[in-house]
Amino acid sequence: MKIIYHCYGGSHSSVIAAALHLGMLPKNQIPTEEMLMAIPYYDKTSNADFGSIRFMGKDEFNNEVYVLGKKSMGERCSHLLLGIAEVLGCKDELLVVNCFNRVNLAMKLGGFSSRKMGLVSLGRPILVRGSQKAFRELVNLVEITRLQAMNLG
Amino acid sequence: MNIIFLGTTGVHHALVAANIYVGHLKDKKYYILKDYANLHLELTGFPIFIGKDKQGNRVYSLGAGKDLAIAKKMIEEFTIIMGYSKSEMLVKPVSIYGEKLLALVSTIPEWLGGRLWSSLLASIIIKSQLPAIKRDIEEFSRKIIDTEDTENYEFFY
Repeated sequence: MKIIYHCYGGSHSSVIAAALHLGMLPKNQIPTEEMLMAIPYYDKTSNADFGSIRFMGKDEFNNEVYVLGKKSMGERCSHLLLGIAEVLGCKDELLVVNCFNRVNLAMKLGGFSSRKMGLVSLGRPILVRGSQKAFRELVNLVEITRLQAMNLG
Repeated sequence: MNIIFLGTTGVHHALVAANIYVGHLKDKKYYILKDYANLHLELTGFPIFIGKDKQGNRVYSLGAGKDLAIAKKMIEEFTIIMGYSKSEMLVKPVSIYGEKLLALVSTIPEWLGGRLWSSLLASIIIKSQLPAIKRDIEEFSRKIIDTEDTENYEFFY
């Protein structure tokens, strides 16, 4: 099965969710800035990465985990991918997870400053605080997703 | 092969283009096409099956909102990730003047007269853009026929 976590830029919430799913981050500990920065793609993407579906790894059940930055497509992104999967005849092999509704204001402001404006030194500390604040929410989302994947798989 | 006509909405210009391509629209009565301006269908976000072309390719129209280039890239990468080749999913963006406004108006709720505003705007825009859509699709059809002969789909990417 392929699991695609998506958010606005494919750089923060979806990347944390994918890292949690793959065990790159412990679920029971709020991550430090160093732990977050060690995750592949975390706060490292550019505008060219919008729409790119990037491979993050395989979980213990051999599910492939990806991240995607969908810009302002919203929930339409999930529908679009599921619709294309239906056209291709592989809808059962796919789980699409929207992470954007777990993103808080600090993550939005920090992410915007760091990625869009290029003000890394200003945006990143705000982003990290936001990511730490949203961490439990993302853990919850990943737990739900893993259960869904187990039921579907 | 599957061909997706991708527009900011899937029930206006993209749907008209797809219908021209499969030969369902011979005159100018685009407004009587099946599923034209069906905003309920648009809200589902799923590709709308239009029919098959002369080569047997399955043709769909799809709405992707204002970021067409991102949606196209997403679909193409997704097709490969799912284990299919690029040539099994051809994405044809359909762009017209006023397309973003059309997508915006399509999101107005029905209780605020969304359907009315959408139909009104769509008829003004599409009526004026129909010749351009037809020219674009004629050119696309020629490319498809040429490509079928050589099986060189790289031309489209």
